[in-house]
Amino acid sequence: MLAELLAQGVLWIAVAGHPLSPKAVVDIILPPLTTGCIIAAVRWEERRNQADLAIDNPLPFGLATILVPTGTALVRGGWQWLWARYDASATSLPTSAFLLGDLLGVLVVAPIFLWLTEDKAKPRNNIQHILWPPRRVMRQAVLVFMAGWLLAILLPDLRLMPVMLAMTWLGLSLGSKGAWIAIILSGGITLLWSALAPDVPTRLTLHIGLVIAAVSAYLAGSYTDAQRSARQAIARRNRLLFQAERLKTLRAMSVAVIHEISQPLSTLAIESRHLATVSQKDMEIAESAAIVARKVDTLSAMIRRLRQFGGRALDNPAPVSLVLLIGEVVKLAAGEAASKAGAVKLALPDEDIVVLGQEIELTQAFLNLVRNAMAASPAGPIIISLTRHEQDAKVTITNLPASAAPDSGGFGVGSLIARTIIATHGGGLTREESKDGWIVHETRLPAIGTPYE
Amino acid sequence: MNENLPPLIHVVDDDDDLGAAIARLLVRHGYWARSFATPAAMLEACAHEQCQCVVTDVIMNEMDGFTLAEALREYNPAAAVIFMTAWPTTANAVDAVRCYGGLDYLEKPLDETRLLTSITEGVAWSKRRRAALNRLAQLTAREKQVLELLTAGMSNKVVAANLQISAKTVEDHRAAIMAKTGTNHISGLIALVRDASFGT
Repeated sequence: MLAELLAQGVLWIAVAGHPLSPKAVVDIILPPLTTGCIIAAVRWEERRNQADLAIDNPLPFGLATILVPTGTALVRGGWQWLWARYDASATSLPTSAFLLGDLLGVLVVAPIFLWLTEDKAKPRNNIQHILWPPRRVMRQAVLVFMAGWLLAILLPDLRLMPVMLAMTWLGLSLGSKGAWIAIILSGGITLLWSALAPDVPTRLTLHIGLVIAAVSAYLAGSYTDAQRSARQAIARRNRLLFQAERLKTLRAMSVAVIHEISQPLSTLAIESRHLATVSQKDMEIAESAAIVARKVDTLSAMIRRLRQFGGRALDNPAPVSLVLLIGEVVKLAAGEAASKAGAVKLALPDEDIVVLGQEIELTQAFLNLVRNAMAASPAGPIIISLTRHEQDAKVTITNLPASAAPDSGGFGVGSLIARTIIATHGGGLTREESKDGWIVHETRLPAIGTPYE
Repeated sequence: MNENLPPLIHVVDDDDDLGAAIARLLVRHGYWARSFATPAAMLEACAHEQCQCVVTDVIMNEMDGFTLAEALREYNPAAAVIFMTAWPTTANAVDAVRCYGGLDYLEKPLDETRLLTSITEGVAWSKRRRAALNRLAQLTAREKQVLELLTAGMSNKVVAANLQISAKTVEDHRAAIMAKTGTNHISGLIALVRDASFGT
């Protein structure tokens, strides 16, 4: 504001040669004061209402861009009108010219100052650092820009409407940087054109058209920047979520593996210690047995430590919709083996069935069972059904194994993990084979009422 | 039951090898131990032999360890139960002791020393409980009612008023209870009732 005050003062007194009067002082002070007040109001609103305005720079900047010249012109116009009632002989400059000049000035100059004042140490995660667009887009941009101006020059009745459309398109496709370059180029062309214009109204019409096109282009560019920024943020969050889900699945699997290792390790610990005790007469056997016993003890201690990491840090169980979960499992399994997708028949109830548990672990358990069924029946049908049986949710996976099913390469750990996960959720998993060769895996989990009832 | 025989311990685990290893370990430490791969097989054995202690896995296929503990009370209310699991949770540990009368809740891989200590405590607890139950079994239904009120801290007169009988009758019942249970003071009766209930 001080800079504006100084510049206006110098222009008014030194360059224009106007005498310094009370009116001249108000004329000088009023526009920068209004500008400062409006910018302060926009910044105050930005701080107060972070949720609506905090999309980096575009929205607060856009508001200031529109409100500052408009507000300043209105205040100045009002002041001129008031003074004219007091002193009828007073001369005044047209307010519209004042408004146009300010608007164009802000739109052309402000991006440079913003770029100069931005914190270069900030992480490169926003619109300012988007890579230069591909050559194909650049060619399109040049063609559209030239076509817009060609139409405007060849068909003067259209005014700068084609230019406005072309600049809006540039803003939408290239962002605020593209819009800014288009504004500068169009500003240059318009100034040359208006210099050749025969009268003031024609010049003003050209300048009004340029302002409209510039505002439209800059708003379109800001919208594109905000959209890109939001997309980047969503993509980053999606990556983090995917990573978190992978970690949860890995944790569930490691807990299941810990469980399975604990069983044989208990046996090994007891027997190796016994062997070390009873073979005292044969030093060779006793020493070997003692080494085995020590290693088993080390392994046991490690398992207990690992369990403290993974086993006990599980999240609190939450209501899980089995209709959604089973549907998701089938999609995942079908996605892994696209050729077998058609062989899976899914029967889900109309009414949802909800269980209390860990969603990721349960997904892993059912995914293991469906994968196993797909591996055993590469061509044959796989029927998956979900039903409510008294207080239990019953998931049945039925498949007819091929007579010569290809070796899946697995060790059967998947079934063990599934069984363990189901058991820890208070349920059970059974496997039955019918006389005609169908394999039925039946899972039961205690159901609860839907949490939204 | 022959007091000279070593205490009988039942081990239940769906991992046959682990069950057998624990049973052999216990035999080496002077117990008479048998292992079972299913809870049903253990309950069947309980019908014709009274064990002092049961060491059972929590997560099993047909029936979990907690359900087994509940079913076991029908056959043998004096058996101490020790749970072991490869999937320990705080909630299960609390339930094991508070709801299912478990003496201990062991994590796999098993700590051998802790297992043996728990079994020693379990056998001692089982003997006390069995003896207390035997002594109380001689009481009539009315004597059991009187005993319950006396050990709750009521005087003869209050017991009489509660049961709507005379104070003299309560005194007679009290004398009979003392004679049958071999106690000579109310503190002895309280200790007896405590031994007959869950907990050590």
